Amino acid sequence: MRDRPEIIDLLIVARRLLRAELVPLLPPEQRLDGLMIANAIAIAIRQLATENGPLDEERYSLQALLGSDSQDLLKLNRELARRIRTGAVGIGAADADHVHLHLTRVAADRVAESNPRALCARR
Amino acid sequence: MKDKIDNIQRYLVTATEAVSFSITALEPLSGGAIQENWRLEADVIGGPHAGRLVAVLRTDAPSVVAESRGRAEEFALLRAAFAAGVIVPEPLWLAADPAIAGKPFFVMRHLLGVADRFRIVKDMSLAPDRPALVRDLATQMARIHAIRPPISGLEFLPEPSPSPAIFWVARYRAFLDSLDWPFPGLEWALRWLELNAPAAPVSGVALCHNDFRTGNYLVDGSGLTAVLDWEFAGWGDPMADIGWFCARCWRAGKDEMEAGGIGIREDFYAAYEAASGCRIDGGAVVYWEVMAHLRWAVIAAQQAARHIDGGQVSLELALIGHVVPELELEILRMTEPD
Repeated sequence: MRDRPEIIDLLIVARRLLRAELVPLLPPEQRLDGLMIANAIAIAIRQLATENGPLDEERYSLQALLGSDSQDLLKLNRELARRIRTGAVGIGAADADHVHLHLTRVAADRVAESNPRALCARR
Repeated sequence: MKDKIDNIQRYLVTATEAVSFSITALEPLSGGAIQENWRLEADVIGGPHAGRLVAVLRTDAPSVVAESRGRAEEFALLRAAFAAGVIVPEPLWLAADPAIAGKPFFVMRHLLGVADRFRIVKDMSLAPDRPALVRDLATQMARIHAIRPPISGLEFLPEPSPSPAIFWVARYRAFLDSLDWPFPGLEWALRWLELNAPAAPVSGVALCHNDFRTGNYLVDGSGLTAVLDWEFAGWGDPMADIGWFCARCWRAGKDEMEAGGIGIREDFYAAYEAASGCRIDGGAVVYWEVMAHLRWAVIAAQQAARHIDGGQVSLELALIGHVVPELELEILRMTEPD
């Protein structure tokens, strides 16, 4: 068992300290660097919080879409990319809606981790 | 650095036909993930440029976007634009030989103004007459599009065949193929762009700036002072520049201001049509807005790859990779199946 607090709590408090106490002290030309570090930590926090949920869903959806039992997310995505390019699936094919929905869900999950504010703005 | 400054001075004393050329300041200017810009001040004695010179020295930054042209080509483009009466910083001297300063550079006139798009969309003391700014930008864009091949000095620009749209689809597919991981969302975009591609413009290709957006022009308290960043320019479809300028991803959060985050789309169209004498095809602009998001996503993926592959470890490049899904979502919204 690891010691407490957990990694996610460490990152949350580290980010808060960085933004509230350190960034204001930075010279103006380095303030953006400070904010970028805070942004990177925020992405890490959100990825830790969602654990593997979105990846498991993506894998399941890809397997259904492609009729594959591969567990390899990279391989599955490569195959989907290839089939979309040739027109075997997606635009112009019978499963266009299904592929569009899959891509939209996966992109939304990734935005939720990288920049959730963009999702809020969209809604 | 001292050696470099000596070399630059030696080069410029000849280029300016001066008796002496003394650099009194050379300081980095902000902005430009692709190019480095330096503010250059010098005392010039003798020759046609005698007096105090305030200029910008522009050279390559360590990270280079695959699409971007070299400094010699950008200099030629800037010259063509200047000759056509586009308001750009006057191009002065080109040093194509990398031996002089470690990499090629050119010098252009320094113009005052603000380029930061987040500041421009918020700070109404900059170009306070926004409808006039929209009109001025449309007029400048029309002037760029009036530049048609052949132009002496621009022979290096490829003819985008079979059509500008299909040319770019092939380029971006090749870029994605050079990356180590797949992008099904961007493949969706490219397939849509392939199937919906407009034919080559009937009136032939025109010079397109290819990065004409808020962030790449200068404004001051009175209005527009310069159109900057010519490194992506080339022969293409004029509607592509309009799509890039209006694309949501360049509105700096001011989504309701569809003309670059600073004005009304219809005003921009009307001013462009008046200045160019050409009708804008609204459907074609939507097509090029999808292309704009795809292009920005491909560039972002390339920037991230630069960091991942170890060419250049950089938090900025690493974070840019994380804008891809936002762009994908916008593309998917614009290309929903019927």
